[in-house]
Amino acid sequence: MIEVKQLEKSFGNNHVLRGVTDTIQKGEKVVIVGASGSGKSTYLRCLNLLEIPTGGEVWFEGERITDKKIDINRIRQKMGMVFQHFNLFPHLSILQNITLAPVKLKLQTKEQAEQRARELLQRIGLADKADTYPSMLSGGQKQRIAIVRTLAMNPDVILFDEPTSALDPEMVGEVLELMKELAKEGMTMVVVTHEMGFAREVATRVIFMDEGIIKEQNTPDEFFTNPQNPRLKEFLSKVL
Amino acid sequence: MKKLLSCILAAALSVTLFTSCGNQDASTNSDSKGQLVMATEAGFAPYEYIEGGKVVGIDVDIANEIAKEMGKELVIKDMDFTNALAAAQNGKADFAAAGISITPERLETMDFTIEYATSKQVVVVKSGDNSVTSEESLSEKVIGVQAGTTGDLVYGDKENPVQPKELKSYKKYSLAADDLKKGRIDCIVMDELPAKLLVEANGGELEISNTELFTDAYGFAIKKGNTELQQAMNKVLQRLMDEGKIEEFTEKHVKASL
Amino acid sequence: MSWFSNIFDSLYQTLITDNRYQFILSGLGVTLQIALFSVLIGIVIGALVAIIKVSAIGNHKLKPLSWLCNLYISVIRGTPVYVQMLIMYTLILADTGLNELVIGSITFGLNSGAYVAEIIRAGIMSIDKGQMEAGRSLGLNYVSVMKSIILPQAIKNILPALGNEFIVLIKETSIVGTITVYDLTKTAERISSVTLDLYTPLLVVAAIYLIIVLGLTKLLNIFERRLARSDRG
Repeated sequence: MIEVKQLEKSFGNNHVLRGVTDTIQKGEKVVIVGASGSGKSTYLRCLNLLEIPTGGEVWFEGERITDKKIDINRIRQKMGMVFQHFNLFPHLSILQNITLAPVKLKLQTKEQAEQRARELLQRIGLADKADTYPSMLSGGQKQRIAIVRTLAMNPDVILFDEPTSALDPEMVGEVLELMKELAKEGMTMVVVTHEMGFAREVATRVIFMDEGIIKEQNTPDEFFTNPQNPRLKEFLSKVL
Repeated sequence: MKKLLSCILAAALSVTLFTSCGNQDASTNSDSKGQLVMATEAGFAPYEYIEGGKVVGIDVDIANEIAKEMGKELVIKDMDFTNALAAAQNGKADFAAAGISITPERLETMDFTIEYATSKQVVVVKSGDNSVTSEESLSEKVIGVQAGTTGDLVYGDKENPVQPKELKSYKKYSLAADDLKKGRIDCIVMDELPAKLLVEANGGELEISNTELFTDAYGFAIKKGNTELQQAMNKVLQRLMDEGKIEEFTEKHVKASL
Repeated sequence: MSWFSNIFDSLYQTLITDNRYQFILSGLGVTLQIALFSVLIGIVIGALVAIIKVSAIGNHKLKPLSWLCNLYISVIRGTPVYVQMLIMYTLILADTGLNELVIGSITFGLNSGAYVAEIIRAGIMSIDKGQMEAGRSLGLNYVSVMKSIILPQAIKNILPALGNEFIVLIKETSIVGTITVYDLTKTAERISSVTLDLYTPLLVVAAIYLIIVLGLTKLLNIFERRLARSDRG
């Protein structure tokens, strides 16, 4: 579904990605771990071109999206993204947050979008919050709304950029719970996270990024019990 | 309270939008639209001053006669004196009328109509001050003048035989009168008619010195080389003088201003 | 009590004789009108310049335009508005046949535009860049995100500052009399040249400016508090 070839990204002299190559299959749940500064977030943000790669290619569903002629907005409708800081729109109600994009992009009528939004809110138990504003919600609720906002677009894949890092510990669980549910339903997911428990339980494949490249990748079992790369061993000894 | 305030503001704004276009709908370019544009400085009663929100005065009455004769609409632009002269010079206005004295210097940069009025240049001093005995005695004085007027030109000229101790030029006579009363200047050199009004308005604090300086002739200033307009205006001015109209205007406005 | 009757006489002469209050009120109207037109022109220009400058951050094609905008802002902010007005009146707009009121409004509008551009730019920049990223990641294009997400939030920061700009303009336009417009200040000058009373017209006009500015400031504060309240909700 997503194919990455020799992806590079520099910010000035800072060479953050130094040639990443990977293929993500439909239905996969890929978890990317690594120390801060390893390039994992940049890599994720290059997948939907929030960062423009300085070299290499990204292919999505048979199209080379790093091609300048591609309408990236059309691609992004199918690649949802969930951010560390939720990035809900504070001036819009929860319902409007969810329906804004589908309605603006004429994918659904206002009525259809609202009905779908209410169903999704029902599912995460926040139906009563439809008409409140983001500032009234807890962090965990905000992040679940952000995930629902992405789901409303019916994406083929969702990219998670450290979705629980900004949350108070007691709220991490509810967000991970929702992500696990999505995983069970077969959603293709690429997750940058520090939650090793989640990686072990949900991932079909775990990637260790370091110094701008993929240093090691494996099934969660092998990855955690039998790491090869010394840098990964060092990393795991710190986080586990 | 809030609603009241915002209502008042809204009302004030909308009223001004509809009403206040009235006295400003003149446009700059003149003859093309059948307009005769006069540049002036409307702070020089009785020649030009504001009454009922409009510029009136001796010069305005004359200018109206000229416009009538030419079949044009008179448009008055009220600006600083120096800008009024400049407007006549560069053709932004058809002519300038602001009690402008005809001087050799000015004749170099602009044309004038025939003179339609004369004015003695007098010295306004604080009441009881007899120290101005002759023109020469001005050399020990700090003199106030209005910028660009005859007094300014004569005593601001470094070649002039009489050099004042200091020359201060004001945009308005009221400012000069204020400084005179406060002792910042010793006297004001100005035209006789407005001087009389100035003295009158300051109720005994100021007076006109007995020492006479020189007599000035007023004309309307026109862009150099515009002889057509010059001749047309001269014709009307001559007729008005022959008919005694200018004395009539003068009397009317001096009375009104006093 | 003679000083009292003196004051009364001066006020009577300044306001009542020859219905001079009407002249002053029409001057006030002109002043408000120029300030209002200017701020409207300023908002249009300012919004355009601000959006070009903000968009140019991520778009190299807009760099020359952005450079032009910077030049405009530098020139306007680097020269006195009085000089700008004289240049407009005697040079740039001299032969257009435009009404002086319009020339004044254009001058102050252009001037205000440079300041408004910075107000709007700051308002846009104050919005977390995650908002733009979230909008874009949903597949909305740059313009839609600006319109539906960034600007509605930025306006809360911008509106009070624009109100201030209007208040500043009311005071700044007091120089417009030089180009023959009878604004509030010029009516005072002209009345004092007829009555040859220097102080009273100036003090009256100063009081009018003060009342208007204080009133508008008060309104603005109420408005700002309203915005703040809706922010919490």
